This record gives sequence, C-alpha cells and structure tokens, in this order.
Amino acid sequence: MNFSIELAPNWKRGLTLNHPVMIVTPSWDSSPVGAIVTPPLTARLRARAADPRVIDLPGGFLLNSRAANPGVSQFVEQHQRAWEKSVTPIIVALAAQAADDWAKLAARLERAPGVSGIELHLNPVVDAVSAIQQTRAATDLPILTKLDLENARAIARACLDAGANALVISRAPRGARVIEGKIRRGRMYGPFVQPMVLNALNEIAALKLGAPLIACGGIHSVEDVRAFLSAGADAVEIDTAQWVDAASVARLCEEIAGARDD
Amino acid sequence: MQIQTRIIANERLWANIQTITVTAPDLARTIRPGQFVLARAPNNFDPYLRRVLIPLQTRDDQIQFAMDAADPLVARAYPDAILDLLAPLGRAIHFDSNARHILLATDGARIAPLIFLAHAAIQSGRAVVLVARQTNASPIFPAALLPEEIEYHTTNENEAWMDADALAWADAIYACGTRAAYRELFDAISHARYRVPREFARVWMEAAMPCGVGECFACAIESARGFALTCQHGPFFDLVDI
Ligand code: FES
Repeated sequence: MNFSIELAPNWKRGLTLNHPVMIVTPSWDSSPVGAIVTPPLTARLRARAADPRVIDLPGGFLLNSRAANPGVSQFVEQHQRAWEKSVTPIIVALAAQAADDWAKLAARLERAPGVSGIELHLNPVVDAVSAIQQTRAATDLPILTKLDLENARAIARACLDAGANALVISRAPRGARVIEGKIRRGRMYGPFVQPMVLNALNEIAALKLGAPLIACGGIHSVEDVRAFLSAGADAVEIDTAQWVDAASVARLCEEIAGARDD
Repeated sequence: MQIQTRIIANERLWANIQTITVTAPDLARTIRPGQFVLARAPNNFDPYLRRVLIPLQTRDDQIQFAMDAADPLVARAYPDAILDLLAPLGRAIHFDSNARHILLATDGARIAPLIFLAHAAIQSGRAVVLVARQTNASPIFPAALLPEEIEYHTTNENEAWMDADALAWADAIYACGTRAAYRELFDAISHARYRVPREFARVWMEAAMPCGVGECFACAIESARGFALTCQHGPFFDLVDI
C-alpha cells in the first residue's frame, strides 16, 4: 500500500498523513500512526456524570461519561510541549457545551503550537452548519467533522459546504440499558459497532462528495482497517481497541506501515 | 506495562470477593499499596473491557488479587490460563516515616486495598487498626482472613464509623467507603483533631476504569485541585481534596 493521505485537499493548510491509522488518545509514542486525535475537549472542565458511567454489553460497553475532560486550556497547556516536538500530526477534538463555544474553542487552538487540525464532535441537536461556520471563521486549521450515525448521510454535504475539510464516520452510536429499573443512556463501543459504521460509510462514499472520509467504530484488527479502506475510507480512527489491548493496536500499526514500505 | 501472566489459582475468598493468584515476578516486586491492575483474558471480548484487580498480598513471585466474584472474567480465569495484565496502575501509597499508627477503615464497600496496605504497614513495623462497619449490603469481614497483627474493630450502621480515640491515635488514615461516609469521616476528624491536615487521611474513590492509563477520562472526578483521574491520581485521594 502506498500512503500519503491529504485530509485537507485544496485548503490553505494541509493535513497530510503518512499512515492511514489515526489513534484517539491524549498521547501515543509506541508505533507509527497517521495522526493522534485527542479525546473531545470542551471550553470548561467537565468531570461530573451519573453512575454507572460504564455498563457492560455483550462484546462491548455503553459509556456515559458525558465527555469528561479537563477543559481545552488545561489540556493544551499540559500537552503543547510534546505536540510541538511531535512528527505525527495532532488533531484536537472539540465538543461544545454551548452554541457559541465553537469559535472560542477554535481560537484557543489557533494559538496552540503543534496543532495540525480540529475534529468537531457533532450530534443531531447541534446545528452542524452553524458549528462549522463558527469554527471556520475563527481558524484556518483543517476541520474534520465527526458525525453521528443517525444523521451522517443527511448532513454530510452540508457540513462540507459549511467549510469542513473531511468527514469522520462516525461517533459511537447511542444506546441504552435498564439498570436497577432506570434507563441509562450512553454511546456504544465494541466490535459489534463496525457493521453499522461500515454501512454508513459506504453510503456516504457513494455520494461522491469529493472530500476525504475517515472511518471510526469497532476497529480492532488489520482486517478491519482494510475492510474500511476498501469500503471508501481514506483513513481510520481507532479508539477503544487500545484500552483493551494496546499491544495488538501497536502491532496493527506496524503491520500497516510494513505493508506501505513493501 | 502490558504483561502476560499465568494463573495459579482462582478461589472464592469470602462473600463477593474472588481471589485470582498469578505468577508475575517483576510485578510482585514492584506493585505497591494503592495500586491496581487491569486484566483481561487474551483474545476474548467477553467481557470486552479490562477488569480492575486489586492486590491483596504478594508472596515470592506470586500476587494474589481480589476481584468481584460476580464478574464474568472470573469464569475465564481458570488455573493455568493466561491473564493479560496492564500493571501497575494508579498512584502508590508510601507511608510517611513519622506515621507509626495506621488506621484503616471500611464501611463495607471495599476491603482489598486496605488489606494490601495492612501487609505493607505491618512489614515496616507499624501498628495497624482496622475498623469495619457492617451495613445491610455487606456483612462483616471475617477476622480469620486478616493478618494476625491487625487490631480489628467492628461497628454497625447506628454507630460512629470511627470513634474519637481511634482518630486521636492515628498518624494516618486510609478509608474505603461511600462519598457520604467520607463526609462523615471529614466531620469526625475535624471534631476530634480540630482540623483535617493535608496528607492525614486518604480515601479510595470508586470508579469505572475502562483504560486505566488516562486515555478515556471515564474515571474523572472534580477534586479541590481541579480535574483528576482516578486511574492516575488515585484511586486513593487526600480527603481534603475530595
Ligand atoms: S480509566 Fe481511562 S482515564 Fe482513567
């Protein structure tokens, strides 16, 4: 395989990956990866969520941590030295707590050294076009837009028209379980998510929107990576697989890099 | 550090506590009280996430861990099987050299972290008192399963968790309980000693820990010092910060 993937083609600031595997993590130094994508950050600290935050599902889990994070400023201060030195592109993921947060968040990153791009976490109740336009007005950094499965196909084109450079399909699907008589909602993770994401990705690829597509959901093996690439993805994001088995994710990245070098 | 260990034994210790013993020479030497490991059966997604195992004691190159007996990993952790560990995780507890009297307290929620602490305190010549409060949800831990050197007291839900004498005797306190119990502890210490000094009392914060290494933020808490991760800054936190 020959990899040099441009996630912001025709934009004033490019975002080139040398490897199609992007890892969602605050820091990563164990094997070659295309990019590091941070967990989603908000304008202010967020640490409270109702228990249980994690609920087992067959072959996966439901997470309700309400995007806990230290807030964008603290996180940037903590990591910017490492980012400045990083040869791997750093993409900072953002989630808004209020409709007008996007511009502030983007402006904070525009000043942060070592940041190569932004990933916006949207959901169906967020006005996606307004979020992207606010962000675009505040920064020239490439914008990846991570869509919810529910409406990814419906809003994909509008997101690109509003200024997004690439689409990430998708955020983890929502689910619920009843625990001790109470309904508990969250986002679902695990290998079983993969067919849903693959289906959505393939449908969006068929729209031929002319923008890079990044697949995210249930990826645990080299075969999974190849399946997404063949279904229309230009790159993939891996999230929970490394919590479960970081060593095998490192091997996966090596193997993909080896395929490129051959 | 991700390591593969071999399971020596998988036994019910008592009530809902299961013990898993593994051979792990390096880890047995380095793991400290206050720390934990995350475990999974290799090549198996049922359960998908790693599970929290808390060291109970180490012997030569073996470690005995405690875990929830109802956890699905128990059925996969049969003797001679491989257990994949991410370890050691969490912040280690080091006793202050002036802390000679160690008071341990559980309100029934957990006891394993206290037992490992007790072994370390006893080995370093410290006096240890353990106070266990019986609740409806949890009966009293049997004294026969504790090291002989521990002075063991039990109370019930209608009594104070720790009395003023015990609080005055202690040089350091380590507690496992609910947030409400920690509030009660804070008030009791303030009352007995007029203030709660920093680094005097540490409390175990119960949290789901999917990654154990600061990646997922699912274990986040808001402490007096701001955003903190149970897996990295805890699970024992200074009571003053909680
Ligand atoms: S368990 Fe993932 S950050 Fe603490």
